[in-house]
Amino acid sequence: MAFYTRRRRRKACQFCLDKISYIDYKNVDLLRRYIDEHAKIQPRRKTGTCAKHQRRLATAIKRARHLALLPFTADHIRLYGDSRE
Amino acid sequence: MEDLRRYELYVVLRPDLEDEELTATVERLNGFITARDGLILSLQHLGRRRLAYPIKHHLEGYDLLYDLLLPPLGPAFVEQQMRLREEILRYLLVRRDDLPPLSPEELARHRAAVPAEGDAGKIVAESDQAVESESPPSEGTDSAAPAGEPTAATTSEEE
Repeated sequence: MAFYTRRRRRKACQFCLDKISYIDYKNVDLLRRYIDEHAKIQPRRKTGTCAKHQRRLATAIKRARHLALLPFTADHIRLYGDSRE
Repeated sequence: MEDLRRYELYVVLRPDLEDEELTATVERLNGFITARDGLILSLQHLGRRRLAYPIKHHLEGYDLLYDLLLPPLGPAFVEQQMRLREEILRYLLVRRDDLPPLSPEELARHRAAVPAEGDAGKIVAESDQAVESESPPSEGTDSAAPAGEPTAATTSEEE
């Protein structure tokens, strides 16, 4: 924002709000919300996730990728589609 | 002796296994765990699903999910064995210290009911590789399965 008249509201960490401490790598629908269309993990500044949960989220996404629950790259999405049915 | 830790094991198997191959594979996996005095709390057959990307040219996988307890040297052994199996496309063995520990009663119950049924799947108890692990001094519930054909006990995978 160019002007100080409208301050952007600080996004709250969704995991803190939901009181989630363990982010499950099997919860694909949840994790999907934190990767973009290139399958990249979204930065905190976009999602508002706090540092603690961002670390756990990153681990969970990486675990899910290892098991092919989530794609690694945009090519995976493009070539093999949405892995949901 | 009681320093068992809680783990979760997620296994992605090849999708083209026949029923009996699947049963044998699950038995072998169970054997890896019980051979090191691990304890299987539950086993779920998550079944076939589409992979997000191909693994060894397979577009689908068959998923298993274990909840288990392992002694300190258990994870290394189980992982080492799993790495040798080509029907296992991927696995993930993670510690679940975040879960509350089992109460002694629960522990005893799981120990006694070795071939008990899991909630969504079933546990194949007897394994040929688990011969060196002597059964705990509880009553012989685990001798229910006939020793002659250990594979025949569990083949009712649906969907």
